[in-house]
Amino acid sequence: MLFNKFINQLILNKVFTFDKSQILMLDKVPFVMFPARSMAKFIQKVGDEFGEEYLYQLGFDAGLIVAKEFTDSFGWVGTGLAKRLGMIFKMFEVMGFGKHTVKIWNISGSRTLYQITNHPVIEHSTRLFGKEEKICSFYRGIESAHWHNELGIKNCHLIETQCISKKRGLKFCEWSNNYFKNQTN
Amino acid sequence: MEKEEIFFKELVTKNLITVVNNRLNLLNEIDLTTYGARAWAYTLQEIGKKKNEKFLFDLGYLMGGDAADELLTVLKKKRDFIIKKLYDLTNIIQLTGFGIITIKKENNKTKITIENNYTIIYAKELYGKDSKVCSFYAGVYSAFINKFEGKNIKLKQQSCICKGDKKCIFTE
Repeated sequence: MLFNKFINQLILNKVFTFDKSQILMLDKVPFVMFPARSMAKFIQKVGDEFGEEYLYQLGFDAGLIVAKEFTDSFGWVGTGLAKRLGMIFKMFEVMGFGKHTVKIWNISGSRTLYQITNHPVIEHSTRLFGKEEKICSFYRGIESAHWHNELGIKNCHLIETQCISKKRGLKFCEWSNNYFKNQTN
Repeated sequence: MEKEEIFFKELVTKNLITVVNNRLNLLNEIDLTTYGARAWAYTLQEIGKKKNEKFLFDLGYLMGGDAADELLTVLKKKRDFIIKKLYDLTNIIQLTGFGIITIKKENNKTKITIENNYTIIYAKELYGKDSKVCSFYAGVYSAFINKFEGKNIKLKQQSCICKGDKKCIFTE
């Protein structure tokens, strides 16, 4: 409920503004909006055609464009790592990329793990394509680009440790920048 | 205040864009997601280069068709929001950042004009006349026309911002 109030306020306080038919995030970064289900179908079709590695790389390269727009527009360089991560995760939520919750955060030891819930595109893709869904690869690429750019973890490639579409009843996807087996519980 | 800004604020305040369970929704039911406009131009161009423009058209048709299906399903349930024709939807399309759409009939054939679509404008900046992104929008609007007007048409592009024209124009 608190978050609902928060995001409503963000919208009403002009996180997305409208200027000459252009949607701008915080008055600076241009965005477009899509129905999440149609986006899931789009990504899946691209993945079916070219494979998941291509999807990941496409997501990474596209994500890097937005990531650089963020740093150019908002000047996050110099703020602390944890603060930057918090800002990125809030941005993801506002962008419709789901709620991100950090489970393990140890950058110096290269041990980080986080979970994503309420990601509308991933949830639609799970309903539509089940275990065959390829959408996560695309979004892992996008988020890896933000870790690379805003967090300065060079060439970060997030790994999926658990997936909502692969395990019945699971409510989240879980990604890590350095998978470390048997130490996540 | 700009006309578009007033319209956008009205949409938010009238709860056409809402947040339900931490998710952005259109009309309280359709999940929305966002994407950087420049990144979207890049994504479409890369896919078009990797395969061809027909594939981009097909992707647009798939996406536009699904969006139209969702909209039609939701709008049928809403008595206070009656949409009779595709023309009535142009404001919602504009709201999503797809530009200002004008739909006209000429000799009983549909003509769609697109202005201020910033994905296309960025594609022009990035790729000039080699831009392929309009094939995607031809697919999107072909699907919309077919779904809303019960047709089976495939739009063709007559003029293009990326090629130096003032507007993108698509006709049956």
